[in-house]
Amino acid sequence: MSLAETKKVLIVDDSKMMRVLLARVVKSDPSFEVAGEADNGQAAIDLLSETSIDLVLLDIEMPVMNGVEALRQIRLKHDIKVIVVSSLAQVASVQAAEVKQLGVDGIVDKPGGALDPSLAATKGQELISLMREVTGLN
Amino acid sequence: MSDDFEDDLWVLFEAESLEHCTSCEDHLFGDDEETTPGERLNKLFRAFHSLKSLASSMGMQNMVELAHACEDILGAARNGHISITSDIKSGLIEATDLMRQLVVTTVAQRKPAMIDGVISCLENLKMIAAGSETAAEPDSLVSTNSAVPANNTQDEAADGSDASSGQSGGAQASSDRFVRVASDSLDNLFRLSGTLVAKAAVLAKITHNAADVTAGLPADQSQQLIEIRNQLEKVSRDIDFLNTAVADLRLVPLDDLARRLRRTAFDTARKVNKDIELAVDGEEMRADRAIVRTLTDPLLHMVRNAVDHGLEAPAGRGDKPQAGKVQISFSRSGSSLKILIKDDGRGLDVERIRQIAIERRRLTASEANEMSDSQMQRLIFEPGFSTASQLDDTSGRGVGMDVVFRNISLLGGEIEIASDAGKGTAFSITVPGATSTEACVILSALTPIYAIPSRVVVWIKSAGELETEQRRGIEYVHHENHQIPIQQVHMLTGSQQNTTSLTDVKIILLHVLGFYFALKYQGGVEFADLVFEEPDLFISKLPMVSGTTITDASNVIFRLDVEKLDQMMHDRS
Repeated sequence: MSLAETKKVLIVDDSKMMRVLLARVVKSDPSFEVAGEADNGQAAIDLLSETSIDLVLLDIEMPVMNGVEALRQIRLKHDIKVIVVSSLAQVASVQAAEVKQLGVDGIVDKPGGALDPSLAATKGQELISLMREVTGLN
Repeated sequence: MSDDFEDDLWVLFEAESLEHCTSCEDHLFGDDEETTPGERLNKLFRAFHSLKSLASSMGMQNMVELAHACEDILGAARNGHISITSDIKSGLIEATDLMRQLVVTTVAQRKPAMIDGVISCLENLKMIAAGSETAAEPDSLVSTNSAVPANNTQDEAADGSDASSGQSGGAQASSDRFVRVASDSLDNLFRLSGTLVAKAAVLAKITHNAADVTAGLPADQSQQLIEIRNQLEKVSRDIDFLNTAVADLRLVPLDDLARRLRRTAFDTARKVNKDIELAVDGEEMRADRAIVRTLTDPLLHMVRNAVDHGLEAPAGRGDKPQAGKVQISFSRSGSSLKILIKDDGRGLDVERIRQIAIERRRLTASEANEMSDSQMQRLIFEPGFSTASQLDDTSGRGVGMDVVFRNISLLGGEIEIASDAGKGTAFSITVPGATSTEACVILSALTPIYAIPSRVVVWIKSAGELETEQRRGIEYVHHENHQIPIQQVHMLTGSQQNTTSLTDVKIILLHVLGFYFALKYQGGVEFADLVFEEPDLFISKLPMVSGTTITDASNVIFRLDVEKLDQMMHDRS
C-alpha cells in the first residue's frame, strides 16, 4: 500500500453522537477517511467481511456484541489495526486488561469537551497522533 | 458550517441522553418481565455509562460525576459485590431525574447548566456506595454467586417502585408534556389537513348549489339534501378547528433563533473589536417552524452586517457611546410576525450606493439623481450590491442582502429600511404567521386554469382604461417610473386562451422580488383562498407551475410560479 493512499477507518460506537464526533476528528486529517460506521460489535464484524478497512475505532460498552468480543473476533479473522476508544479503557478495569491481552493497538479516552474548541482540539489531536502511529504514518 | 455541526450535536445529545434516562427509569422500575435481573443490571450499567460519555463530550462535569457514581454502584452490583436495595434504587432514580433536568436545561442554554440537588444527590450516592461496600464485605463470598443479589434486585423492584414513584413524579410529568415528533410527519399532517380544508370547501359549494335546486324535488329528497348540507357545515367547522390545531403544532418558540442571533452578534463584535450593547425582545413568541427556518440565515446575516458594517469602529463613534447599540425585536401584528433589526451606527451611505449604481450601469447619472434616498437605499437588495469594499470572514458569508430580500419575499413578506446618516439603520421585516392558505386571483379563461397569489398583484385593469405604447413590436404599460413590457399570459404558461372571452382584455400588474411584470389576459377573474399541493412528478415538468389544487368542478388549478418570473424573463432576453 502506498503512503499516498488514505487509510480507511471504521467507527464502531452505539452512540450516534459519538460517531459524529469521531468522524469529525477522523476527517480532520486528510490521511484518513471514514469508510464505515457500525453501532455494535456484530454490525462491525459483518461490515469487515465485506469492506476493506485499515483501522477500527472500537467502543467497549455496546449492546448486541460488546467491544471485547468484537476485538476477539477481529483478531481471529483479520489483520487490521484496532484502537479502543472508551472511557472504560482508561481506568484499570477488567475490560482494559482484557483488550490489552487480546492485542489492541492503542487505547484512548472518548473525545470530550466538544463545546470547548481548545479541549476538543487537544483530544482530537491525541486520537489523530495515535491513529497515525498505529497505521505507520509517522 | 461550524454552527450547523454544533446544532446537530445538540440535537443528537438531547435525543440520546433522554433516551438513556428513560431506559434507566424503565430498568429501575423493572416493568419488562422478559428481562432477567442480571440483564437488567447490564442494561442499567450501559445506560449510565453512555450518559457519562455523552455528558463528558459536552463538558458537563456535574452530570459526568452523577453518571459515574451510578455506574460505580451498578458495576459493583454487576460484579456481585453489592445488591440493589430500595435506598440505592431511589438514589439512582433521583440521579436519573437530575440528569434529565441537566440535559434539558443545558440544551436550552447551550452551555453546561448547574441545578439544585446535584451535590446532595452525589454525596448520597457516594455514601450508599461506601456503605454498601462495607456492608457487603462480610458475605462477599456468597454475593459473588450472582443468584443472591439478582433475587434481591427483583424483590426490591417490587416494593421500591411505590416509594420512589412520588419522588420521580415531577420529572415524569414534565417529560410527558413534550414529545419528539419527526418534522416530516408534522409537515405531512399539515399538508393533509390543508388539503382536507380545500376539499371540504369544494363539497360545501356543491351541496350549497344543490340545495338551490331543491324546489323541483319531492319533499323527502329535498329534506335529505338540506340535512346533508347542514351536516357538512358542521364537518367543515370541525375541519377548520383541526386545521387551526395542526397549525399550532407547527409553532416553535423564537428563543432558539434569538439565542443564535445573540451569539452571532457577540461573536462578530469580538472578531471586529467592537463593543456592543445588545437588546433582544419578544423571543418568547412562537412562529411557524418553516418560517423560522427560512428566516434564520437571513437574520443571522443581517445581525452580522449590523455589527460589522452598521456600527462604526469605537474611535469613529464621535459623541455616541463607545458601545454600539443593536436591537432585535420580535412582535406580532395581526397574524403577521414582525422583526426589527436596528443599529445606532453610521447609516447607509446613499452616495456610495449611487456611485456603485452608476459605475455598474444599473442607473444612468440622471436616473440616479432623480431617485429619492429611500429608493436608493433599496438598491442594496439587488444582486451583487454590497457596499462593503472588502470581503472578509464576517461579511463574505455568501448571503448578501439580495438573498435576504429573496428569502423574505418567498415567504410573502416585506422588508423596509429606515436609515439616517450618522444615526443608524433599522430594517423592519413583516412575514405572514403561517403558510397554509394563499389568497389568489384565478384566471379561469385559461385551459388549464392558472392562479396567481394575490399578494404579488398590484392591480388588474381592463385594457380599455390603460394607455399602452408599442415599440418594436412590444407593447409596454407605464407604472410610476417604470415601462413594463406586456406578455400574453397564455404564451408564458403554455396554456390555451378560451375564445369565448376574447373581448374582455385585462392587464394584470405583478410586483415580485422587486421587479414589475405585466400580463395580458382575456376573460373573467375570480378570487379565492387556495391550498396548493406540491406538483406531482409529471406536472413539475411544466416550467411555470409551483403547486396544484382541484376545483369543485374537478378542474385542476395550477399556481403560477411567480417567484420564477424574473428568471424566465432573463432567459428570454
